[in-house]
Amino acid sequence: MSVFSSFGSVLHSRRAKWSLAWLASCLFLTLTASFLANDLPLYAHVHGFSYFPALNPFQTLAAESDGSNPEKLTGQIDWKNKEGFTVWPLVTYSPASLDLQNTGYVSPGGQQHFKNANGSIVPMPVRYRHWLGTTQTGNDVLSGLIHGTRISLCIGILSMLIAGVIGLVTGMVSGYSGDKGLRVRSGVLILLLAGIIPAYFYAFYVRGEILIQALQNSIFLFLFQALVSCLLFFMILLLFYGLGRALSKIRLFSRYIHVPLDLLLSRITEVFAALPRLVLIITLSALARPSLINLVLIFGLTGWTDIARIVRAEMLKIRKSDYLQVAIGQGLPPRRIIFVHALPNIIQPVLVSILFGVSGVILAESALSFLGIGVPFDTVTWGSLIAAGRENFHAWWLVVFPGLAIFFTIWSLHVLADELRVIS
Amino acid sequence: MKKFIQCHSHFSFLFLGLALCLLQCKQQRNSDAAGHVSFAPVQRIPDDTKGNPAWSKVNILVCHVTAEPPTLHPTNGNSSPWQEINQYLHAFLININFRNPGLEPGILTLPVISPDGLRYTYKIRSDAQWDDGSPLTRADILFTLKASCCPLTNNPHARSYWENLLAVEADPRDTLAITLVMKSAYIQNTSILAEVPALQQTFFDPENILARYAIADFRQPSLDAAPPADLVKWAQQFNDEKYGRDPLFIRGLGPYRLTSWDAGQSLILEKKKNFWYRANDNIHWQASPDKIIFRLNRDEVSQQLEFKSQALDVSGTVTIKTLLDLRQDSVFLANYHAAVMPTYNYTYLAMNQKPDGIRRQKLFDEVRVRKAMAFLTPVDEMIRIVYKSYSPQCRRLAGPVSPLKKECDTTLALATYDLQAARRLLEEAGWKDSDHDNVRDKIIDGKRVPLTADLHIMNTTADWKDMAALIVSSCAQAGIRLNVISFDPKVFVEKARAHDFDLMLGVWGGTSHPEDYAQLWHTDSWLNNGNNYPGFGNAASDALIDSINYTLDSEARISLVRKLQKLIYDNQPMVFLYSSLRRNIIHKRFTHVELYAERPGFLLNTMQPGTRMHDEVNP
Amino acid sequence: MARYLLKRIVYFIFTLFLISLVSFAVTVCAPGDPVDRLLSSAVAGQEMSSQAAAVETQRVQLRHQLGLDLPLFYISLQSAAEPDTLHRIFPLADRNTLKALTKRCGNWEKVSDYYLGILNFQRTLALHYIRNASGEASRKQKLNDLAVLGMGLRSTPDEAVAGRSLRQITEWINTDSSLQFLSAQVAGMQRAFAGMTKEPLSMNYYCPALRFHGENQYHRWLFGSSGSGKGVLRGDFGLSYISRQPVGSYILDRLPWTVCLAFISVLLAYAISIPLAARMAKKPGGSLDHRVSAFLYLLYSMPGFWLATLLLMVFANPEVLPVFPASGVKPVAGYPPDASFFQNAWISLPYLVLPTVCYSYAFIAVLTRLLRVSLQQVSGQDYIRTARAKGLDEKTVRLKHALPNALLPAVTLFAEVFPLAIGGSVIIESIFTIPGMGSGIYQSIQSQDYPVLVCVFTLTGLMTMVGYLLTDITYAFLDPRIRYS
Repeated sequence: MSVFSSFGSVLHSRRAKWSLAWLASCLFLTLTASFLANDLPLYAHVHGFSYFPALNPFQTLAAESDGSNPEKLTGQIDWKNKEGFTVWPLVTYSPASLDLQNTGYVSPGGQQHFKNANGSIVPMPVRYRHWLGTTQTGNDVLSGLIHGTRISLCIGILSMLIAGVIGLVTGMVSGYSGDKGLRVRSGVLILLLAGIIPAYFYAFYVRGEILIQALQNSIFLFLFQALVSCLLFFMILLLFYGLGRALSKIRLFSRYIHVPLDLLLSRITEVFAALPRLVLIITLSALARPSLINLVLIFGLTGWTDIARIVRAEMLKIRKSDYLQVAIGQGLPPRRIIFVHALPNIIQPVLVSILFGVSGVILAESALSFLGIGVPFDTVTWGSLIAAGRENFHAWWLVVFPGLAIFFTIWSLHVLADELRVIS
Repeated sequence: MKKFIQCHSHFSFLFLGLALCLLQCKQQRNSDAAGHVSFAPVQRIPDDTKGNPAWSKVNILVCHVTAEPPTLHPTNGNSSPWQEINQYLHAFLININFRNPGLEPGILTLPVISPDGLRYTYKIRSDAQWDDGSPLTRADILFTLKASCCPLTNNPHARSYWENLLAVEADPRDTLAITLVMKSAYIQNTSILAEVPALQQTFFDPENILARYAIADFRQPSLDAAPPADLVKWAQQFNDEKYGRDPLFIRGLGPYRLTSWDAGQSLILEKKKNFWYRANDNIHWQASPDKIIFRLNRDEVSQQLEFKSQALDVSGTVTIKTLLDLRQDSVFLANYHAAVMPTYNYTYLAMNQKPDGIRRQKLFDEVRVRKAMAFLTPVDEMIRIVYKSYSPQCRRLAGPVSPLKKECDTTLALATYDLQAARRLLEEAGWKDSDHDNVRDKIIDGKRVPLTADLHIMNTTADWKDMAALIVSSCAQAGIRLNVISFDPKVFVEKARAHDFDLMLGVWGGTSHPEDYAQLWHTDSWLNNGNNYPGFGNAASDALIDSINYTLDSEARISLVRKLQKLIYDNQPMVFLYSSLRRNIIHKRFTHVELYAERPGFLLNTMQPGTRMHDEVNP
Repeated sequence: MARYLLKRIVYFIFTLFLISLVSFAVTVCAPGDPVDRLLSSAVAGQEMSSQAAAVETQRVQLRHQLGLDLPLFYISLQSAAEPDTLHRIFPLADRNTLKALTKRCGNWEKVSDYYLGILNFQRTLALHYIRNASGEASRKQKLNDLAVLGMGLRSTPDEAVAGRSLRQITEWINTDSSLQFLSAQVAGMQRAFAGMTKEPLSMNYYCPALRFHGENQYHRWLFGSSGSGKGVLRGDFGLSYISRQPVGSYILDRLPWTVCLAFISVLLAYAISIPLAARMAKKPGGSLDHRVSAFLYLLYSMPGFWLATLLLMVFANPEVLPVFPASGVKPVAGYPPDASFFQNAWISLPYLVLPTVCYSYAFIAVLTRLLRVSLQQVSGQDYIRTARAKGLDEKTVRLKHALPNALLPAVTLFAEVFPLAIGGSVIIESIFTIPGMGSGIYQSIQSQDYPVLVCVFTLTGLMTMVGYLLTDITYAFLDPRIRYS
């Protein structure tokens, strides 16, 4: 059965519909977070001029008619106390903004305070209320939830995509070629192995300084430089491959050798699976500067072993199946066999695994926030809210709402995974 | 879907809701009377008069700790848990006077100092006895001093202090007198003996190897290059970890001995049966509880529960949050005293004023920028966030001297939060927002440098993060962008010493005896990658610090220290925030409880268990 | 069967070797200098004090003792321009600077001359500073500034910046007569610098050089050496940086609690999941199925630390239900002195209940769902229908035919237990104050106590591999198809 029709049939179930609805709304929040929760208004009309502070906080405000206020940027004005017509987003706080009048865990139903234009403290107007309470330093919980959706889901999905790709490729190569699938001439093999040394040298050792500099500057520059290094590596290997082909023309080096890919890849998978994941993550986080990309990479690079194992098992099953034998017998090229016949059947268990993996990553991220490592300083995620709420157990709003969000997300993912599995 | 919702309401949410309700209902809200605490070095907690028959009458004191010492080795250990526990196991040569700032006699009396300030003559107590019955002799004191000075002993943290000791003279006419000859007339010449445990020579050096060497021999560089074999053998045996971990090998003159150490859980100390000190006046050598158990617990929630079930008696290391949560419970208030005490510690925000321009930009090298930071740091807010309802007890500082000390210059004005003044100072210093990105910048050495700085904090408690969040948000309003990075304390200190920071939030510990300001404020301390993190100092301040260190007369010293404070105040190398408060919880069944500003804040061996009723029954 | 076992054991050894490489790589890549850490930072970096020489010898000695001045591995890939003794240069920052300089210059001798020149300059300056420690303050200021420039020279590979600093130093030396004692050293530095920068850009650096080392850190780590330790293969993992105890005994002290908890949790999980899944599969889609599934989802989505706190606040709280103690593994006063092992175990039991629940709840959730799905799949197979057609009753069909086959995927999960247990234990053990490996690991990571971490990685890897081996053998035993593939 093809992938798409199985997706279609998922939609018929009611549980699946609700879970898709939840995930879609999370996606919506991810895209529109800045417009739903922001401490600057979306539109402001002051002294005859229109501004869009949320979109452009660096626009200079025209001077007051009496020339009293010095030149200010739209991002610096206290819009809640400014006269004029303003259109606010639904939640009037951004996750990092501190509301100093409401510090110390104010509950959603509790008394909230507001500093008005005269500087006096008055009860909070309904428009600017903290609907789900605040944290220790006065951060709004609802806005943290909304912005946290983006981060938690991104970390989860991106890292599992990386893990999925690595696991898929590893599992497929290992399952398809087995120990006898890949044959190379001994000349090619010798020169390729020999070529690894100069390739590594020129691609990574010589460029070491550049890579370290890039790492300190920005992660994107580093990824770019790393990509360049990898390309260089493969080009040199390609050169040696060509030389190897030439060498294998000689009788002595023309024998075929089986490369035990399955053996090697399985052992590597086992090594990664044997290392305790959380400890590895904590160690790597302690070494690297805390940033979201690092977190995504760490989760992705340590979470692919399950997927690889599943894919390999499926691939082995499929290889022995009848229709693949027929395809091989018909003489179809291996690439076609893999992509057209094998892949659609493997995708489903992989998707199931990925969906379970995403929920695992979201929980692991909250554990890391509890331990105080991983997420950079100003970033608010579901996990960091729960971790903060644990310190003050009476601040139940810090735990219940993000907890519910996590629960619904995980439930949706599991329901989808189940539906997909039932279909297959 | 209906079925699904029903399922939820039956199981999950009901359970959750019930659990939460139970928790909320059981808490009784009480008005939180934080109580007045006088700002004095010692506070006597009034004995509880009511008593409660339900209280345990067992003479065991359980003290809560959040860290266990890495080692209890008498010379090689150096941590606050080490001091906290070893003060009951050992008798120190000189004791710190907890009640009045200063020193008091220990095994040695306070010294008679020669007029040139170089010779210190002490008298040794005659009544001290080791556990095996043998008396304390001068040989033991000689051994203790030599073991501390020996270059092969693994005590690098103390080496710079012991360098001052040139030689020891043992007067043959008076076997209880010992004279220390020091290198210079330095104010801490006596303090180096404070908290040094007396060691039994026959136990640690049975072959009496150290008697063959004089302290002057240890100072020869030839000894470093080619240490003699017998000394190496002795040092290898002496440095062995068993003297710091194994109860059988931990031996001292103190009122308690270590009977068991469960790593990661608890240490148990038991009162010695025939302790040599019988009198009442030295508080360090009392032994009221029969057993003292130090119980490790790092988790705040389970600490709260243990206090509620009265499994813990004393703590000096709970967080303010835990303390305030517990105070909400009337049952807790009926069973425990809860008090905060001032300390000699202070928290600060240091600014790197001597960056190399390559690794760290020249952001804070100008004094106007540093003064602007002082205007931008919302200290009162920070105190409120950290200490909550205890904030009135928390004293702010304007300089590096604790308000508890006489030398503190209280005329220096505290920094206020003033956004306009900060902005003005930054403009004057040349930092203007020329590219309208809300971050100021300046042309330095031909390059445009934005005023973006890294703020380093420690990752130990959440309070640091909260304080940093406040600083970040207030600086953002003035056009300074800060990146907060949190580090493990060891890495934090390494970076500070290597001057690899722009801003850092830290805390310095202090004691009551006279401070050597060179450690933190001398330029040598910056050059040698020592503790002068900001890079304060010039020739004039160095000279002033040197003269403070060699002025033995305390009255004369006070005016010099005040001068130094003014220099530091004008230079503003750090924003001095506040002096930390220690949180103490003590079970009401203990009487004769005193709290001290000096660390660790209380002496467990002086706390007498038993209620009045108990006293009446067993007089 | 024997051949299969043999093959598996050979793979086992190979993977173990790979794991040892990874563990070793962790120590090596760790930031920070272990020598500085061991000598305690009070001593680090005091170039301008009188102890400088003594401290330096101490450092060199300690480094030699720990084997840190050896190359890393049996083979090392470097550029031909770099000497094979590069690994002996400390601190690491200097090594990086020298590498960068060699890259530009291509001639190691010239770079080495320059480096020695800088060291010479710094040493003379320090000696002079110490000898005239009580000198005039403004002079000391000048010396300080020179020292700063010297440190800058040592750390920058940028020739332009170095040139500027050198010019500044020379200018000061020439204008101030009291600084003449440094003129020889400064001239030497200038000469070396000129020699280095005037060297034409050579391609020397771009030739790779493969070098072999018999004595290297990995070899010492694995096999030990005469001076220190017996090597990992004989169970000696070195000394902890913090407590200076042998790592092996440190871990062994803490291992029993973690293993005990993990073991009990796994048994509990299997004991609960198997009957529960069987019950649920009796009526797939029924109300029990739905309700338990929903509860399991809720359970799974609770973070471990939060559930631990909830359990504590409900079951260890004297105001709610004071059933279990709140922390530790034994009473405050310890075990009674003459109690037997079983008596001690009985005393510790209440302390272990809440942690076990926290360990096992996620596992129960996953296992139950897995078993249920697997049971469903198996129930649809032909042989089950055959069994029913044969006339066997439902119970026999389910328990004797369906269940054993459905258990196979659950068996694979068993091998995963150890890494999960070690990892999850970090949080649970710090909340419940259990002196197990988890809290030990967390503290070691925080204090960068790498010998302990390496031991943990290696041991966990070993135990997981043993778990895999056992699982594979069990599988082969249970499923004849695998044996003959």
